[in-house]
Amino acid sequence: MQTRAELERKNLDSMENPYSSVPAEITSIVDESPTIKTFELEPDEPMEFATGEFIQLSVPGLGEAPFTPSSSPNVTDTLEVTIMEAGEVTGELHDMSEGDTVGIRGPYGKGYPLEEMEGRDVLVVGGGVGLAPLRSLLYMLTAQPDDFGKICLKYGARAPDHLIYKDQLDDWGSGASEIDLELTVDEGDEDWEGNVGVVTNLLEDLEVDTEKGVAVVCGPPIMMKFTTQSLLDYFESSDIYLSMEKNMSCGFGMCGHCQLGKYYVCKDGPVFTHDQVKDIPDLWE
Amino acid sequence: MDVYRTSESNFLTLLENIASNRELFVPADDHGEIAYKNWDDLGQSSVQFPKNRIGTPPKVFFFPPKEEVSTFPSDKGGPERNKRAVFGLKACDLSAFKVLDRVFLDEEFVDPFYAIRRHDTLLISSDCYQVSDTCFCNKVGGQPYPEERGFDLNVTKTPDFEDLIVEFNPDSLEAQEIYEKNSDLFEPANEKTLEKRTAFRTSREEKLDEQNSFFEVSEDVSDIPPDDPMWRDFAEKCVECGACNLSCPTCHCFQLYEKEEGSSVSRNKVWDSCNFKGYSRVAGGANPMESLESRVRNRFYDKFGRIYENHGFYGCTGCGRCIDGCMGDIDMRDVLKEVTVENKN
Repeated sequence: MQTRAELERKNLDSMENPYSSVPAEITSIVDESPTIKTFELEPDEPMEFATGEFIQLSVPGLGEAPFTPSSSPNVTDTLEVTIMEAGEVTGELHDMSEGDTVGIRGPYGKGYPLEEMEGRDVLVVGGGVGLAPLRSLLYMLTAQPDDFGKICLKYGARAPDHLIYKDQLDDWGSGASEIDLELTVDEGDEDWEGNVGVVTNLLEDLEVDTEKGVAVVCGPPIMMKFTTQSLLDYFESSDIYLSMEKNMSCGFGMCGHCQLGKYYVCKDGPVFTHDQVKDIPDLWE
Repeated sequence: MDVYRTSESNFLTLLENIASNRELFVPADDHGEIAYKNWDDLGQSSVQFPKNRIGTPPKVFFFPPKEEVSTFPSDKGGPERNKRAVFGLKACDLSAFKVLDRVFLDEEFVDPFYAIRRHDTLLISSDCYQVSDTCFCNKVGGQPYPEERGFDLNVTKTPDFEDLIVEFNPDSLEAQEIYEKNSDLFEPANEKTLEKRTAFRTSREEKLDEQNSFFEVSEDVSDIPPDDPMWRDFAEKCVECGACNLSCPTCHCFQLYEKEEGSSVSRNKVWDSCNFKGYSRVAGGANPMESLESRVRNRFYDKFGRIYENHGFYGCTGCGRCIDGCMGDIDMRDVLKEVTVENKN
C-alpha cells in the first residue's frame, strides 16, 4: 500500500499518460505476401525501442493491436511493422494507404536479451509472419557480427508466395551475408526448387554449437510447440527464447488480459525462455 | 496517542466540516440497501454506519467502471484534481489497496487517473460492527478492523458504549489537520475506552474464526490444472454473469475501446471480467480460455496463485461480495475447501 507521500513523489501534476498514443504517418507500404504487408511509420515524436519490445498500434476510432517492430532499433526516426491480416484492426490497416495516420504507444515488454547472446552461436527459427520480430533481431546481430558467434536462420512458410522479406532472404541466402539461411515451405509450386516440409525438418543437422549456443523461436503456436520440442534435444531449456502472444490490451500489466501462468506477457515478456514457461498448463493454447 | 472519543452527533458535525472543503461520499439508505451517496445529495436519507462492507466495492472511486483516458490526435491530458473523502470503508476495503496499488502504481508505469484519486481521496474507515456470514477476512490475513493504518481516520462503534471511538492516522497530514481544526469535538480516549474497543474487536474475530473453521486457504490452487474435474463441477453452476469480478474490490481487469467524436477520438477504459468468453480471445479467433472451466479456474488461480507467487500476499480480501453476488451459489470458501481436498488426494 502506498502512502500519500510516496504518491507525491510521482509528480502528480506532470505524470505521463501511458494510455496516450502519438500520431504516426504511414510513409510506405510493402506487400510481402497475399496476407502480409510491411508498414513504415514516421511518428510525430521518435520512439526508441529495443529489439523484441512491442508497440500498440491503433487505427484511430477502431482500436489497437500489438506488434513487435520488424525494423532495426538503430533507425530512430521511422519504424516498420509487418502485419498479417487476421482481425478487425489488421484488416483495416491493410486497407490504409501511404499518408494515412495511425497512433502508436510504447515500447513495452522485455525484448531479446542481446547481452545473453554475446559470443555465442545463435539459431533463429521463424514461421510465417513470425519472422517479423526476428528480422529486427537479425539486424542487431549482423550490425556487430564480431560480438556474436555463428548466426543461422531456419525459416518456413505455407508456400513460396507466403515467404516474407523476399529481397532480404535473397541477400541472406547469397553466401555474402553473415547469416546462414535455410528455407522451407509446407507446399511448393512449379518454380520452387527448395525444401518442402515443416520447419522442424531443418533442425536435424544443426551447424551451430548447440551446447554453448542459444535458439530463438517465433511463429504460430503449433510451429513453436513442435520446434521447441525438437530444440530441447540440443539446447538447454534456459537457452531457448520464445515469443509468446496473448491478448495484450494495455501493454503494461494493468488490464489483466495477457496472463500466462504467473506472468503477464506484456510486462514479463513477450520474450520468455522455455525454462520460464515450461510448466504452464496449456502453454500453446 | 491518536485515539479519541466523540458522540455520534459530533461525528456527523465532523463529516459536515469535511464536506465543506471536499466532495464527501457516505453510506446511506438506497431503497432498502446501503449505497454510497454524495453528502450534498443526501436529501431525506441519513448517514448509515454499515455493519460490514457495503455491496459497492470502493474501487469505483479510484478505478471507475468507465472513463476516458486519452484523446487522439492530441491528448487532453490527465484527470482533474478533486479533493474527496469516502466514509464507510472496512478493513477488507483498505486491504484491497494492497493489490490495486501494485497494479496501478507500478514502478515503471503509473496510471495517472488512479494515482491522483488515491492521493486526493481521504479514507475514513470503520470497524465491522457485525460480520456477515459470507465474510472470511480472517482467513486471508485480515481482521474485522483496520490493523495496518491504510486509513486517514477510523471509527469504531460498539454495542455497549454510546460514544464512537475515532483514531487519526499519525502519518496522515490530512488527518492531523482535520483533528486540529475539530479538536473541540473530541476528547482523548482513556484506557477503559480502549479496552472496550479491544474486547469488541476480539469478539468479532472470534465470530469469524467460528464461521470459517470449515476450510483453509492455500496457494496450492496453482497445482490444480484447468482440466481437473473440480473446475467442471463449479463451472456447471456458473452462469457467466461476471458479478464476482464486478463486485470484487481487487479485480482490476479492463479493456480499452475507442470512440470517434467528430475529428477527435477518445480511448476509454472499461471494466472487464475474466468470466466472459471473449476475455482472452486474440485476433484470428484463438481463445486460450474458451472453456468456462478455465475461466472459473482463472479467477481463483489469480487471487490465490498468481498474485501470491508474484507479491507474496493473496489477491482476495475475504470480503465475500462474490459469494453474495453469485447467482449460481458458488462460494469461494467451498472452492478453497475443495482445493485442499484435491491436493491431499
